[in-house]
Amino acid sequence: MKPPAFARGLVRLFSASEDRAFLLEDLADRFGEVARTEGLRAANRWYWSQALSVVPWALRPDGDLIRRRSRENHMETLLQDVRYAVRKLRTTPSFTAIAALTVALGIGATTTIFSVANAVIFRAPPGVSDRAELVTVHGTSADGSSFDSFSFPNYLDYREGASGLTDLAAFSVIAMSLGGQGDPELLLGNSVTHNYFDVVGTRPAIGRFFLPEEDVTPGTHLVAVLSHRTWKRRFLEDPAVIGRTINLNRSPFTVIGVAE
Amino acid sequence: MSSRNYLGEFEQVVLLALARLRGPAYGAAIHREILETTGRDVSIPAVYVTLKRMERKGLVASDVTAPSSGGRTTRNYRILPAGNDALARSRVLLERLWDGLGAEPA
Repeated sequence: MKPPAFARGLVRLFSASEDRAFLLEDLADRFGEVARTEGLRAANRWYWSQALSVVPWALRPDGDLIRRRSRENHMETLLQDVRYAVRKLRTTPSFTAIAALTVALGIGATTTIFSVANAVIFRAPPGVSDRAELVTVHGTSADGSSFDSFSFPNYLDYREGASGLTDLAAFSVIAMSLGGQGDPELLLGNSVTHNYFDVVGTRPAIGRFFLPEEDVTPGTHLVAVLSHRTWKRRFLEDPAVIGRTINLNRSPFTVIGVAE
Repeated sequence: MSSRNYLGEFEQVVLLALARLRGPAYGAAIHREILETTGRDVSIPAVYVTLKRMERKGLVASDVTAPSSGGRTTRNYRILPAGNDALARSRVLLERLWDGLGAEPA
């Protein structure tokens, strides 16, 4: 039978280091006696009352403190506490293992969540400059609902008449089958206006981005810019990919550049 | 006379329990003496604090004693002459105050 852990922690926290070990052992001995004579519940109640009695003594303003706050002893006290904690943890390997696993899971989950949030929310995507000045445009319906899909003619009108914006680009997410070299692979790509990369503020790693005349007439200039990740993974960062023909949804496209 | 020579109520209880044990004793033993003699299950941390305070006043002294066989290391306290004097003064004080009151105060 062991005294309640939180109550023990309270005693440990508010008692002076020089007496802590003796006090804890005396309390444990008496706890055992009470448990044997009056039962475990009574012993727990007794221990809690003893632990709580430490606090007012420790906080007495007249200098008669259980715990002396000496700047010179802080490090020594800390080291004693660490050594005591390690000794105690070694005597309870199962509890130590479970506690360590619980802490590890908590740290892992927190780290993972923050990493995702950092990448998606806090940190700008690679190659994007002036993130604070990059905005997305949404429309509002008559019923007050928001939408972010526009027809291409509407986009052209907005681009002509938009005030307060340096430029306006459009994109549409498309699932694509990439073929032509190696096994076909399903990717998510974007069909974009020629000024997309200028608006985003990125630069080509190799090659070039789109020209104004390449998005005027649909189907006449089938050109593609690879993402850096795809270029690295699928094409092994081969600079000779520029000018190569790849199949996107069974249509031949010429690779003109790779984004940063 | 300095207030340091007079004992508080709990100081008297702890010091008397230590005196009754007639020799060096550690916190738990003093607590047990108080419990068995008075029926009061006092706070063990309070016993420690009181002993520490009386040690600073020079009424008791302590030594850390290693276990002789099968026991544990304890901090044992013993009464110093100043502690005995303080007990004696406190007893005289209380007896003077109780004098003439009978079994129950009015």
